[in-house]
Amino acid sequence: MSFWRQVFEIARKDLLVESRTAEVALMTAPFGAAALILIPLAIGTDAPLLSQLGPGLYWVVVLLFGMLVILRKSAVDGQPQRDLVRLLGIDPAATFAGATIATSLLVLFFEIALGPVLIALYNPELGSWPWLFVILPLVAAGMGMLGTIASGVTTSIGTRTSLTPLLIVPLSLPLLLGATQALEGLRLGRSIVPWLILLVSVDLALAVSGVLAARPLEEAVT
Amino acid sequence: MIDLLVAQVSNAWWYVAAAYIIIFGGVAFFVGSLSVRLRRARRELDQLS
Amino acid sequence: MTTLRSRWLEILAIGVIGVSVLRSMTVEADVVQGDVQRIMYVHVPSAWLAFLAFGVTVFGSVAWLRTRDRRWDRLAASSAEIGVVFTGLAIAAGMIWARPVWGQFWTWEPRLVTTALLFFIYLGYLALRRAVIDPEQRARRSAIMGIVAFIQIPIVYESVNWWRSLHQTSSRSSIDTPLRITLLLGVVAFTFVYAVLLRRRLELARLEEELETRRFESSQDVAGAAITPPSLASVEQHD
Repeated sequence: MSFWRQVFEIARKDLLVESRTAEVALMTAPFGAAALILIPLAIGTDAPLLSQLGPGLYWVVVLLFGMLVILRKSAVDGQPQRDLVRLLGIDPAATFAGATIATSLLVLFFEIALGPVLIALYNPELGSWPWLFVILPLVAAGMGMLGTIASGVTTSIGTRTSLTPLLIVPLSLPLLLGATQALEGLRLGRSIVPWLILLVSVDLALAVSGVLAARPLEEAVT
Repeated sequence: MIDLLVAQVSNAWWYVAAAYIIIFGGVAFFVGSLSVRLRRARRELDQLS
Repeated sequence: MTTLRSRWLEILAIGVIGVSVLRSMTVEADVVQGDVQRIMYVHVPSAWLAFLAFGVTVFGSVAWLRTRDRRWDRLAASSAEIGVVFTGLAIAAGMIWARPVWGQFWTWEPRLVTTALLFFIYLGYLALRRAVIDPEQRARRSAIMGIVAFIQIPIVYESVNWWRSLHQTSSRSSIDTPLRITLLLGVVAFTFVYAVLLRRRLELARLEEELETRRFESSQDVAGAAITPPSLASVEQHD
């Protein structure tokens, strides 16, 4: 099996397992939407204020509640599954890439699901919105990679649901800044190229670290 | 905010004292906790052998 | 038992710290900020010590991955713990300094934000170490996390820098030579403190590892050891 075929199969397996419980679609996404409804009740329902704060709050919800996408049940392989993947001779880098693609697609789904909620409740000015087709996937990919690396490090630890977010959140700051500032730039009609460069470089750095960490990590999950 | 220049802070030495106490107090606390942990580890090792 | 050499290092460290504090208190006051600026002589060295400690942690992590020698893992762990303590202290002293000078405890300056995030990154690193029981696994996982975090830190710093530069620029006034010498002395003194603390912490790490091994060995021959419990590995849900 070629490398990319392995990547594809791993990602497909992860998404197939996820589709059985539909945890992200039926639990995490509604939870995030509920958070977006609660926030205005706490900070005030003034329309101009919400329109201004909306995009920032949206990204905070995506990053923090996105942790639940990373921690979802279907991202956890049991020992028999891990043994099987190893016996099949799957390249650890392919396992990393496949798991990352699956998580990233689910984060992207989460982002898209929350989008209409944001627009309906906060009425944000989006400016040239087609750029969102670039920004959303870049953030999702970054979160997917951070999540896959951190999940690999916390596999089969009892406190992994608390530990993984602690490891991810401080490192996700460049993603948050890139995403929020890009949306701010769109609103004000400024150039968002520097922020796209930031997002791309974060993703590249994470891809390199993830591939490098994949082999030693595979030894770790015995 | 960073460019805000304060010519004279009236109770400057209080702030200085507070900062030095925090830093050196923190170091002392850390050294103390290390000593306690070291002693405990040595005692447990003695008990095992 | 403490050897003469370790005592020497400690005495030397205390001596240098004493000279450094004395000089910090007696050197001429800063022209702009006055006496409050004296906080810099402990704040900056604390931050330096923290960065040095995290640098050593990464070095230890890489060395462990290459050699698989336990000593490097102990070095990484010990240094990270010292680093977290001094990051916390540097932030606390910095906030006390910021209050009179900037009029507030906190500003969203890149170095501040990055230092605060460093604190949490390495808290996570230490939490990860605590959570993994098997020594080999612990060394491997924490080495990987330590290195991945270290690669991200410059990007974190640059991203905040970029973000701030759009809003305001921070000006840095140059400092006079006597003040700079005092600061340098502080940095040297804190480096000695690091050496002393690291020595002790390494000793602790070595003892704890020995204790772990001994406990494992002594748990080998308990009553009923001949009876093997059914393997749970195939039934257990790995969460």
